[in-house]
Amino acid sequence: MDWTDGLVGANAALYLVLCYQLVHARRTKTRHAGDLREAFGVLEEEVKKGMPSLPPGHTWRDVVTEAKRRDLHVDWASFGKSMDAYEELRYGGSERGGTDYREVLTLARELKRSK
Amino acid sequence: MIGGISRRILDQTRKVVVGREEETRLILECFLARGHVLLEGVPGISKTLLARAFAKSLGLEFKRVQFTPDMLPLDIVGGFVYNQVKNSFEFRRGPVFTNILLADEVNRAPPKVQSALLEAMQELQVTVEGHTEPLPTPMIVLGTENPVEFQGVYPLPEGQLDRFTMRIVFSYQPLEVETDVLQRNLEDIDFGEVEPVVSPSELKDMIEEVQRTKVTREMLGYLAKLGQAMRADSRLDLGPSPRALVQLLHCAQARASLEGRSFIIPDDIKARSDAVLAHRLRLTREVSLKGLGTNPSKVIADTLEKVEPPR
Repeated sequence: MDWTDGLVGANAALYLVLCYQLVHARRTKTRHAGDLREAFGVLEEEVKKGMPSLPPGHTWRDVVTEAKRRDLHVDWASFGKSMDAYEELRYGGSERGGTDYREVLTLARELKRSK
Repeated sequence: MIGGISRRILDQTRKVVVGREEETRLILECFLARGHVLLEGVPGISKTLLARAFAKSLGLEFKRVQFTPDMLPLDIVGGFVYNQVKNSFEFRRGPVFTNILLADEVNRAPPKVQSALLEAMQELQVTVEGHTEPLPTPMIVLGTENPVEFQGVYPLPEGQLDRFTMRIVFSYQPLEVETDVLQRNLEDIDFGEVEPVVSPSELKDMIEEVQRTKVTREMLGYLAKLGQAMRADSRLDLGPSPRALVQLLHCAQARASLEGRSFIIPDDIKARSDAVLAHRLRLTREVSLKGLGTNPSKVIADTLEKVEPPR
């Protein structure tokens, strides 16, 4: 084995690491959402892929129960506030201004990562 | 406001009844939804005790009628009796003229009596020989059905079961709670401990608040889809009636209101579907005979899993 074989091996290893990092970065990237409604839209997409065992009749509360059971790293107090605000908007028709929805996207990311 | 009052009511009933918080909450929801309740459970499982404590904590008039096979409709709704002094007939009100009526073993009475009671429940008024008297408001009937005694029983037909908004099943308590029940009964139960904690105006406000609970058109659509899916289920001969869906809607509003929300969410409907619908559904003869672990509750649970709620 001459030095060129070693170089090829090193190259291959480097590319493997790069590919892994690229895939990892894609999986752990927090997606962007413009508002609360969009954030829950993002979460819904991830729920479909990440929680296939949930029946079509599931509600957001079922999602939370399942996510807690999986011990996903989410600040549930903050998520709860976002969900209350979303429910008020979705089912009550009134909007709370300035609701923080970061934890909704965190849950979406955690679901993607845990697949 | 409503959540605080419900906590006060639960605190009062807890003084004499051990471990029936969920059942108390369901009765309260049904009361706020202007419905009537069918309590099902073996004898001696604190159905009457809870009903009395509930009535007292609300500061309402409570009457109990033990239904028997030899009853007549006038034993419930009242009738005209001759007054010798006035030399005329006058209407004497029956026990149905109260705020909370415990109709014990309602299926022991003959069909005519059942139908007189159920008509009064529906119309909230009594008509005897052309004379109409309105019942007091609020008015709720807590009917009990005893599943282990079959002799001398006239089962309630589906049309009459449909008048009961909810069926609440009282099951045996877990070991720890049953031990607490025994402990509680070492001394005599004193109903004097239960105090009225709601004023009539607060009660009226609570009922109005429940009626104001918002329901989006999408939620109504979800409820209608559930009803249609159940009616289309091949395991059922009889699905939920439109009246059943209306009552489920009212109970969902009451649940939302007790949880401090001014709008209903799909979970409110899902949480109350079994209590409101299970006693009204009838399985087909084949499914009933085969058994296979199917009962109306299973059909409801399957439908809730299948029909997508607005998210």
